[in-house]
Amino acid sequence: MSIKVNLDIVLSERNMKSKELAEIIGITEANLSILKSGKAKAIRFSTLEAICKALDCQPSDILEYIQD
Amino acid sequence: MNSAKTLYSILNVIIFLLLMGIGLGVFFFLMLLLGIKQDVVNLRVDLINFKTEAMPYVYTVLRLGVYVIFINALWNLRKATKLFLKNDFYNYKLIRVLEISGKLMIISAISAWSIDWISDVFFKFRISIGLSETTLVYLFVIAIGLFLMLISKVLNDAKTMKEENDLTI
Repeated sequence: MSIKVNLDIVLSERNMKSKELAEIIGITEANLSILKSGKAKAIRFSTLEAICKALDCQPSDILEYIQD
Repeated sequence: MNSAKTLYSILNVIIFLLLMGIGLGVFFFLMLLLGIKQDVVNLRVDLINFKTEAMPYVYTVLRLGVYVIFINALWNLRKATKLFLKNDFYNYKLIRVLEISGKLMIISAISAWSIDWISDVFFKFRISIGLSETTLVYLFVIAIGLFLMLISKVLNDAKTMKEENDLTI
């Protein structure tokens, strides 16, 4: 996959669990799991904004481009 | 989905009647060939000048083949209608059976049209110019077949969009 989601790293740095984050941003744990595993096809700006707000981070902390 | 239920019922009736028709057709044709006299059904036999003895058999087998293809097309359409009744629109099986049904309808219509034309020209020594009722029916079946293939493609594209949407967080 070209875009890597580093959500796990940021969550461990903030000592937050996936379940907690999912509740805060208003998505299901299953959807958050899809995002973390890299199976998501797209992410809405509203979701990205909510994650960055909840984790107090920048989009570049969560998303990383890897050249194939 | 009342229209789907009605279509399902109509398809069941048509398939049953076609199968019965084929069965009876084969039965009475065999009786004719074997020279068995019967007074149950009055058969109207067109004056067809078959060139060789094998021609009637070839002609009958080709005609039967076309009917079998058409029944197969209706059978696939019946399967598709069943899936529509379950509201399972993004099922790969539905997309596939609609495409197959469409293709089989086109094949059966073109084959039947060709057989009719060949039998008219070579066996009945008759050439028809212009649109007859039979030609319109064949064209209509081809149009229905193309429409079913189009619906299949539309549902396939919709399925792709839905999957992408489902994986948009």
